[in-house]
Amino acid sequence: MPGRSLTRIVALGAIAALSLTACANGSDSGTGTTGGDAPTDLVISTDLPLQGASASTSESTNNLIQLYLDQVGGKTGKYNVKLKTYDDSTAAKGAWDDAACAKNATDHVANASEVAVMGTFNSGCAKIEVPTLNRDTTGPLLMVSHANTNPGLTKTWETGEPEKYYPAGKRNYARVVTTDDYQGNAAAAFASADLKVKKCFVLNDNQTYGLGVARAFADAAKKTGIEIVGEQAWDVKQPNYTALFQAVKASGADCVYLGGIYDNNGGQLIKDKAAVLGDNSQVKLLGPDGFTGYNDLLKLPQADGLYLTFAGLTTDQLIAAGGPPAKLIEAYKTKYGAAPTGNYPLYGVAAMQVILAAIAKSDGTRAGVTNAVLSGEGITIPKAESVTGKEIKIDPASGDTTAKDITVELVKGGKETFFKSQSVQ
Amino acid sequence: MATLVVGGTKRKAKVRLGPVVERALGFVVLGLVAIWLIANIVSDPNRFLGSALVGLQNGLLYALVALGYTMVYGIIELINFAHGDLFMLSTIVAAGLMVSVMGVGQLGVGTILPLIVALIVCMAFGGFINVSAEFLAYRRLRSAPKLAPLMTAVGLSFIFRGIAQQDYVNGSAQKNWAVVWGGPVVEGVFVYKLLMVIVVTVPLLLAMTYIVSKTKVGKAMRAVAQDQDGARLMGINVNGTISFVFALGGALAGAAGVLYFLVQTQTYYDTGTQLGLIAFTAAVLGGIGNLTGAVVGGLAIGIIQSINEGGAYGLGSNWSQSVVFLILIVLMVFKPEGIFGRPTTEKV
Amino acid sequence: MATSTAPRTSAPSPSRRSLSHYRWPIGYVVVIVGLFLLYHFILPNLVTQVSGPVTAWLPVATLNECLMWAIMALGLNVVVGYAGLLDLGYVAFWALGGYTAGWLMAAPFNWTWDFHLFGAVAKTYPGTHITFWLVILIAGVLCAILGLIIGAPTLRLRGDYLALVTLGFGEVITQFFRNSNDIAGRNLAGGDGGISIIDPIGTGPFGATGLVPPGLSNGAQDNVYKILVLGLLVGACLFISLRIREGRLGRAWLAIREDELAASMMGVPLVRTKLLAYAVGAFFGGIGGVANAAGITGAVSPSGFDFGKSVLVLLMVVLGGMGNVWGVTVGAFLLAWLNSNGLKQIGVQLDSWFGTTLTATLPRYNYIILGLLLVLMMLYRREGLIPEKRTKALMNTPSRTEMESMGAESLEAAAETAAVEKADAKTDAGIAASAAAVSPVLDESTPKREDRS
Repeated sequence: MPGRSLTRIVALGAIAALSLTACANGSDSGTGTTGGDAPTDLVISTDLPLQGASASTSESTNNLIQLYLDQVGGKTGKYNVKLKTYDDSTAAKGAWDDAACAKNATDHVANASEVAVMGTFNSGCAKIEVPTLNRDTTGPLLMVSHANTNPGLTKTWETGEPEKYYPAGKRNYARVVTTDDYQGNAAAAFASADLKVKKCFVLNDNQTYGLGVARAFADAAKKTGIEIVGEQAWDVKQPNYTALFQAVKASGADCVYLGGIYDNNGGQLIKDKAAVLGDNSQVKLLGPDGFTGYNDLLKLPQADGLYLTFAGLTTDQLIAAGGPPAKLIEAYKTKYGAAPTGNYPLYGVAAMQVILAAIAKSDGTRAGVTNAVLSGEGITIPKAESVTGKEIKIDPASGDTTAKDITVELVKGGKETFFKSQSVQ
Repeated sequence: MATLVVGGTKRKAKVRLGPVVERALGFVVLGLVAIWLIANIVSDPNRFLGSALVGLQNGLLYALVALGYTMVYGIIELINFAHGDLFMLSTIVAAGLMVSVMGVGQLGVGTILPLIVALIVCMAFGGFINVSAEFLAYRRLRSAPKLAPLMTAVGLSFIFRGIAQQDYVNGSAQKNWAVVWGGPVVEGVFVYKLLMVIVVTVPLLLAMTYIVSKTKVGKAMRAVAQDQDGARLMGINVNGTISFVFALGGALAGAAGVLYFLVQTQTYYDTGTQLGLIAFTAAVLGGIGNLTGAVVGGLAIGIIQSINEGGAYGLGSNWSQSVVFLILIVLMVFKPEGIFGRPTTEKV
Repeated sequence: MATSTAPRTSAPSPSRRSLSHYRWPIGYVVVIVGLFLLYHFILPNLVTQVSGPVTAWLPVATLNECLMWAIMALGLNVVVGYAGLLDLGYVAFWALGGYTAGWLMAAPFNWTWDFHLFGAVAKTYPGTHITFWLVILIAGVLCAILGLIIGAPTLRLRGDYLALVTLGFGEVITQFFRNSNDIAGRNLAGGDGGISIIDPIGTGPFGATGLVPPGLSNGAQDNVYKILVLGLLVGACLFISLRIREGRLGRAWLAIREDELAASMMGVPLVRTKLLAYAVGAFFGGIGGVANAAGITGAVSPSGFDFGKSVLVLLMVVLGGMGNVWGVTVGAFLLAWLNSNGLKQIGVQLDSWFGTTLTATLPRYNYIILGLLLVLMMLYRREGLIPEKRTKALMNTPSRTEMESMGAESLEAAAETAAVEKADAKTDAGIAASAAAVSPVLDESTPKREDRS
């Protein structure tokens, strides 16, 4: 027995030594493989939650992007591009999952032919992925989001933001939508000037996005002279919120702001609001874009009179304006038989346009593509081509879009109807 | 040796002091809760009333679900983790039946007939599923260690949730049904809604109490709960009795499902986990295995929760869950047998 | 101390005994190093026809996740498998471990200070950056303390009540972290957003020796190196689990698990032994939390720490075979793999064989498949995939026992009940018939039956 064990120990030692040498060699070969000549076939990936509540929006986004790529012939500049889709959600959770995001991030980096990522849908997921893409030694790898509205990703917001997402010291993240702080400002300006409310009660769903918009709204509202009579979180897991609205009622508020997303039991919230505070013509109800694009919500009779802000222009508006977006949606309708779900699929294509323009401008490497967006003059998509119906200009310093459209919608007769465009300071 | 003696005397003293301290602390906790309630009433009576009414409404629902837990636990000492999810499935059945099949849109006095139909169908559905689960799984695990049926229940709960999560059933998002309540409203609470909950729940609770305490089947249940072998020797059909308890539990979950759907007009695959936990807490709070205890526990949790959310002095909705569980933990530490439970000594 | 010395002093020839005892670490090291070499060295140099399927079925990221879950499962195994205390709130320790990493080794957070101690990032970074290896220990100790706090009030409770209270603690702690952006006006742990950008594992003090390959220290592509690091942690947990089990403490746990009353009669200090089970289990949980935060996700947020995760770890333990560390490890690997990549890949494979479209749909049946697996396991193989020897031995124990643990399925008892049940119907009729023949009193009810026949 001792003899046999001894031989094993010796063998073990040999293996350990071998592994160490392997390590030393491996690190060289690891960086070596991704270098060399830039391939002409490039892959752009999308990173979206394909399961759970956001599934249909994500599916539409992927389909619309594929359709757009087919329309442009799968080519940009001298490169052929292909689409690869990633899923950052798990079925068990029915929403994005941090482990799935982390896994996707390492996969994006490991897949050498990928030069840019379109996504993510959720800011929380982007916050996990961006640093990993940023640390990529061949990059950093570019990410362009069509839906992340959390300000912290690109500008000073919480402690250490946004620098902490860019450990390599170089930016690699851009987005084509306006951030929550503008949305909050717009909602506050609208509430004070158009709705003429005096006292607002601000609710949030206690999640990153909801807290962000709620905070932005509350801060901006105070400046416009609206009194904030209460700020509270609603618990997603609560069966109902009648009791919560008792507290709102006691505060004497004439407006309620719902900072959060509809998925977080927003339907119940709207129903209970109507039960306790009456319909939305008496005590005004405002919500951010987290409540837009849900057919379920529009079917609720209690949602009638709900004002929603949306960072960008709605699909209906874009179609009405004609031009590239209308054509794309028409093509989508003929292919899939229905319009894409929600307003984000078109912005997904807008993000894709930015990526394609960057690739055309670059040398086809990851670093080149990132530099095309986040250095020099940045990327500008002229109005005639843009699927958002307006010029898209990415600020190379921050990665934010310079377009700051906020649309105010009114839910009326089971539809989100355009109410007004709100300019933002 | 000397230390041992000292330790021994100390221990003795502790044994005598322990219960007194515990009782005192228990009363202190109860007193604090009472003071908190009174403070809420005094500072804003209307708000308190509204919150208390909501609490009553939610509490009765919790009680219905809790009864199912407590009955099954009472007879075979199994925490039926699948109970909450069975309840969730019934909400979906109720929604499909009432809205899609019967086309209910406006709720009020006129919808009594669809309500009765839905109640009958869902109670049968719940009972059937629960009895099948018992027949297929739990029955074969009766002699196994306690963890085996418990894990089976967790497995069944996963299956139920997985079914509800499919897009053709309910999907993984909350589904809000376009159903509206009509009628008078008091402090934000629909009177008809509250009445419906009371009118359905209270008779059910009374019926359960009657069945368990007065009927022959109830006697058999109690005998089986006490000693299965003994009961069998006395000529009681043990399997049949246990199946009957499961049928009752399932029917209660079915009824609760209908009510929950009508109160919330919403279905969600995860409802069962959340509400199941609260209901089970209610069952334990009242003393598990005790029917009255489950009802009182459910009402207590419902009211404490809603006053915490809507009262003048509360931590707010985002701490509700913690408040419920902290009450549970404190109670477990000082009075593990629950409010109505009798302390039992371990059999040797 | 007593735990590690007890077997050694009692053993007749220490050297021989210890060598046979350490046979498994050699095998384990071979497996881990082999896996590392496979992913680092062999696969990249093979043709894609060979390497493709391997990386598709078991990508490195999934392998790392499996290793992380193995730590968690081993920790829960101490509490549930060894000591027989059903813990449904184990996720609390995972969360606290993760948040410890968030506080001690991440980008600047509201109340953390600038401090570097062998951190994995450059010294110029603001924020606290303590090395992974120290944070593991700190998190382990913090969690052990939390374990004592949770354990203390539950000591008098048994079985189901214990499960419920631990479940409650798990929920309260998760809710605490969820609301942690505003605890009396202070931001303690970032609320729903949690704390993001946790440092990679890094080499810490070992970096100074110069022996560490550069790939281990930083970068996103160091997933392959994490096999070694996480493998080392799993190995340590395995080692501790196995050694403790053989010592006095481990035997005390088993004694409590099997019969608490008898154990206390034999002089096992119940309070201390149970608390130690919680503490040790929590310690592992803390390590798992740090490993997850620093090695897998790079961020912590409360959405990851729900009741479902507690159940998942429990499933790993039960599926693998409670009390058997190897079984538990296998269970962890199997379930973690299914959850992360397995189901999807099975879907892909089925699609390529039968032309179905299961890739997207199969993961949606995750819950149903896990649930079915669990129910079938409980019905047909209660003791787990790799049962513990002791529970096998216990199978011969007659009749129902009060053993709170798993797998102690007593065959005789099962057979007995089955026989009784089968006999019930027949004998009832038989007894009634014979009774009718003997006693005329019972006859009153029988005539009708005779009429029918």
